[in-house]
Amino acid sequence: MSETERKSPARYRPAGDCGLIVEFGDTLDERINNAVLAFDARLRRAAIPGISETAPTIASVLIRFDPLALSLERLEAELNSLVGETDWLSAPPPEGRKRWRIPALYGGDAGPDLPETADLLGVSEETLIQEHAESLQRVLMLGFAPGFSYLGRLPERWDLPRLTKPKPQVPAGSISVAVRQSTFTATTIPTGWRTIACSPFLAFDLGRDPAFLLEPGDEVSFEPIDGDRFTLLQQRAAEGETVASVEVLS
Amino acid sequence: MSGRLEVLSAGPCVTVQDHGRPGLQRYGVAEGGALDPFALTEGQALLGNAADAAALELFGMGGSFRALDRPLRFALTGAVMPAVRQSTVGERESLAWRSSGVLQPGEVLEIGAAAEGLVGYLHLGGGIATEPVLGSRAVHLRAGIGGGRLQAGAVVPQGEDAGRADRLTLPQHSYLALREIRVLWGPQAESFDAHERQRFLDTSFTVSNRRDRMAARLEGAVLDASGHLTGLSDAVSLGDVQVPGDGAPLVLLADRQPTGGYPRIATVIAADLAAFAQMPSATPFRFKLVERDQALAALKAWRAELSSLPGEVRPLVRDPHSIPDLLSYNLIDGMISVEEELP
Repeated sequence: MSETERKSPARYRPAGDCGLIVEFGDTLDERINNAVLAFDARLRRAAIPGISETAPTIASVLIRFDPLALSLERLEAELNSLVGETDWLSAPPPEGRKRWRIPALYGGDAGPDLPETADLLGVSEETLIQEHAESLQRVLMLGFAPGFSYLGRLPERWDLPRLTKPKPQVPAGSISVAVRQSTFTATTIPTGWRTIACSPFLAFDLGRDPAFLLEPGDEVSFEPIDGDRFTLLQQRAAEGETVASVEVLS
Repeated sequence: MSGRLEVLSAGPCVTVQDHGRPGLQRYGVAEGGALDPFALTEGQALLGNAADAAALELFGMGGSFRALDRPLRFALTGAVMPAVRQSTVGERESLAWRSSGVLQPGEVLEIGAAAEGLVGYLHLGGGIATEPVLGSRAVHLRAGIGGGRLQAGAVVPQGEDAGRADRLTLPQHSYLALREIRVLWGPQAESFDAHERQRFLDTSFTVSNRRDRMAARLEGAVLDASGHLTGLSDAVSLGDVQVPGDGAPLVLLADRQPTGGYPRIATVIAADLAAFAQMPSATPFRFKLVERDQALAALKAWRAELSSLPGEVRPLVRDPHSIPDLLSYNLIDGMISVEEELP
């Protein structure tokens, strides 16, 4: 029986003496990720004394706590009670999430792997751009590097393999694809995914408060722009302007 | 009153560190901070600094540092490194470790390679007054937050120093010599069969020279994680022992990647993280599996020792002839960065 079919879908994994992982499954699945986001929001609202931090990932929530202030037994009892409150796999997504429309320059130097990706998908570059930009993707988690987000999922045919030879670095704002997901970089980092676009939007900027703009659970679509617009928005972003449109979901 | 410290030369990884910036895991940032928080706290006790004061972390190798503007109170803690104070007329005096002193303007502090442990700390009275970023002065090398490695020519600003005490010392703590690192089973221990788990506990490991503030690669056993089928990334913790595709375990440290898809067989208990960070390369050690209540007892004892440090500070009484000038030898081997897991 898979995790998702059990009545109580949450499983606790150890994470050192000061951590615990609450896992809702072991596959990339919207329902599982939804359970993670909803449960993380519930945990934060519960504000259990002794918990210092929670961090949602694709299928689990990491809880950091002080075991001398909150025993593992008590923490598990609190978690059991929260887990039992509802069927987390069917829970509505948490309130207060944002929906972003983020400008992106597809192809060329900004997205050097666009032609190859279109070939792999068996579609024209125009079709690829339209399908990718219009797909409403969710921030499944942030990880790997500051402000680096995993977005998903894309339609089934986007189940592309990673590159066999990773690229040593791509700039902040790079949008790359593999395994029905997009990654959106916020710093200059290496990648093993195919880079199809770059955005002038800065998901992470130390000169700004808040430094991080994308949150786990936010929804993202992209607005294709041309090179001139990219240059203009890049200048505005450097001056501190948020160059994406955003609405709060209720 | 505050002065400045000029970096005349620096080892390969000299960085400003404090207790780091926990709470940003959900945004893709591990907490970072001093690899040896005990040594950080020792310096704060010796100088009467605040708990959030930052110090220079000397990874494997020190450097030469000159006081500017005014006398600087300083303290040396963590890995034992040969240290010499050179006066403005060239007189050399060897300095005791785990002790405080004063560097007069123009005087130079020369610190060599770690002779015992790996990571030393140079503290200034009043701490270091670099600009805090996201609530901390810690340099997070992998995330690119808080600055970078200090190099020759850098000038480090001292914080406001209201303290006056100097020539104080602390007794040596035994954790620098610990060769048995206690662990709990990790989040994916079940991905390793019973035989592999036992082999992990039976192996005499060494830390290779592939180590940095992010992780330390181990030698001694190649573990089989072929039972780990899901490659789904989740959040990793400080001290996780991760087994990547090549089977050579990595212990994940302060500046680690925040998430990873390789299985983690074990996690070093919080009380032994400093001991592991100080483990010299090529020195045999073992992992010892403990029960959770033992880990908690160890954590309790560790915190008690940390909080008792201010009361253990004593005046420094010493025979200068008993401290040889060790700076001329014992250069560490080059250290290489750990290869990263890509998304």
